[in-house]
Amino acid sequence: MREAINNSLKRLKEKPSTLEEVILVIIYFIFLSLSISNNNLFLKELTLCGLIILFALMGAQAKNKY
Amino acid sequence: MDLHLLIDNLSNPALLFFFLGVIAVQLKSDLKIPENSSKFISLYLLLAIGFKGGQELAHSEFSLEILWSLLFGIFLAVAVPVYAYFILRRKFSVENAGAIAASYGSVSAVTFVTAISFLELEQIAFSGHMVAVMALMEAPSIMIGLLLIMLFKGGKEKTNIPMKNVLQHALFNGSVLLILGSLVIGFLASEAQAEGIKPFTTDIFKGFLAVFLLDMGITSGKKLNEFVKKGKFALVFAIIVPIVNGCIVAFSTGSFITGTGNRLLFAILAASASYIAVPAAMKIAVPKASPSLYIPMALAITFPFNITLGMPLYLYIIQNTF
Repeated sequence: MREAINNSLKRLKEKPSTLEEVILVIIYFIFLSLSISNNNLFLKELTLCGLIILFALMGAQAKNKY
Repeated sequence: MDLHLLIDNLSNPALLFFFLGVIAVQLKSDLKIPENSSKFISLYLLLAIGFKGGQELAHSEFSLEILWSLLFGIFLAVAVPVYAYFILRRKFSVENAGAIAASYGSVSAVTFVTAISFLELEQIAFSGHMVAVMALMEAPSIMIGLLLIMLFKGGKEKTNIPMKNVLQHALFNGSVLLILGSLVIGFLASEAQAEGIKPFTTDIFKGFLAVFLLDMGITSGKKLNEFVKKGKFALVFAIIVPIVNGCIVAFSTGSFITGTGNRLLFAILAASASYIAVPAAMKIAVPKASPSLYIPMALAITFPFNITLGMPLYLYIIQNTF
């Protein structure tokens, strides 16, 4: 079962937009909406986290290219 | 986030036992771990981690990085409660804000142990001195939390905190003393002697961790029900503070900490919140602070977040930056 999931993930990885990036962005937006719905609590810090995550995503893309 | 990491983490038996505990509470099952067994297992986990850390430390050479790590750990334990306190004051009383801030500045030994198990699963190395960093981070945040309460509680209601008792508790409470003592014993023990108790300190470790997390799941499930009634501010704080602290530390440690494992442990230490040592100290020092607020925040929200999504996210940041 676990191998089947891992194999299907490997196949997904070969496609241009990876599922992991989509999941990461969705989770981030959930946190962002939580913050906005609570009087922008931690909005600046979350923006900083967003930049860090973006930086990591770009780093991962660059690694996949080479 | 690497989905392999997430799936590996979510299919970790220890974590699945945690969820079993939460589900058991929701199903109103009578499943429970006897209190004495739970206490014994928590002592065992601290002993094993301390001993293994001491052994690792004995094999590593003293370097400047160890010193930087210790200083950085203390810096985190001082800085996090200060900034958290001022955010918490928007909604909470001085006592509650101080107690929650101290809890988020301090560390969770169980989260640390789970992170070590996660690193072993991913075959990522870490240094033994990180155990000492964890033990050092327990006390300063308690002191900072109390200091903030004393500073901002003016007027007639000025607090009368028994500082001597609190200091005694912060520095020599059972868990801190056991982990530091085991670290020293592990450091002094020769390799041949350590091999003799390896079945106890290493082989059965993951099994005991699974039982302990089952117990944590049951406790979290109970606290979660109480906590939902406390309002959204505490919930948002308990979810967003770990992600902010964890991401910033995961990213920034790249410039002065080497080793993916050590950086992940720092991120998890910054992101975790204490639900054993701090509540025990706050009960003595600030009886007006509400345990039904700061224990569920750390135990029922921050702890599950860190061990499910937090660890793979911080590792992803570490592996793809610097």
